[in-house]
Amino acid sequence: MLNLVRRNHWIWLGPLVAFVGAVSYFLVFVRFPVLRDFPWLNLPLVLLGAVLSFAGVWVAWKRPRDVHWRRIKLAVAALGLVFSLGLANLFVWYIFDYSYRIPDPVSLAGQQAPDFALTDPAGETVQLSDFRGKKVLLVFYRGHW
Amino acid sequence: MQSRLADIRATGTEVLAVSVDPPEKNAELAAKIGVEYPLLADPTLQAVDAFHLRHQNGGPGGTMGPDDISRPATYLIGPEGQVLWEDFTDNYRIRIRPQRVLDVLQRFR
Repeated sequence: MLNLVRRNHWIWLGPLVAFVGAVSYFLVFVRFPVLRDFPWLNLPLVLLGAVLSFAGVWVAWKRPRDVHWRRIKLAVAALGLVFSLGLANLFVWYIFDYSYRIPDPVSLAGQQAPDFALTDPAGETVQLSDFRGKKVLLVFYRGHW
Repeated sequence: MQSRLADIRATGTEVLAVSVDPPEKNAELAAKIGVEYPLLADPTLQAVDAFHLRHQNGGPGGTMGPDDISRPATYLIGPEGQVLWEDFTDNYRIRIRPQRVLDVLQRFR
């Protein structure tokens, strides 16, 4: 069984690379600012996966060792290609379109910062005005870590 | 900001972070990634709205109803509570780098 998988690696290699490329961006590489800001590692991986998937279809087409198996292999390779292209499309859309869709900001420069009272991780209430006399770097995150 | 926290604090600046996540989640996250500045919880978007940062349906919520979150933003608030400097990214994946913050803090010493 393992031998069968290994001999037909062209069929599943592309989709696997595309999948690993896409998923690892969110699970692993978002922690590294340089690789998060632009997916230098993951975008090429995803695109490589798509290219390998094309190769997989081509190999399945060109290797007519057993006519019966050939049709099945071709179908599986084609499915793999659709999968990789879909994934690549989603990933590219996410990087170059979706993550830009945030509301326009409103400038507050020079104005008095609005005060607020929020809860810290220990359950204590923290107000911005607690920090009068000091400078505060206030960072708003998206959340849903 | 954690990586340059000591340098930031050396300029007499405290760091406060705000997100819509609840305090328990923030506590978990702070412990997990070793954040030493307060992660403040704003589940009702009180501060988010005061700063005009609401991003409607920006979160993955979906089935639980509307999931509004904050648009990313960074402000430097002065000792009298005035907004000295602000920074808004145009892409939520791209966050401001600590070095840039330190350069700004130099300007406002």
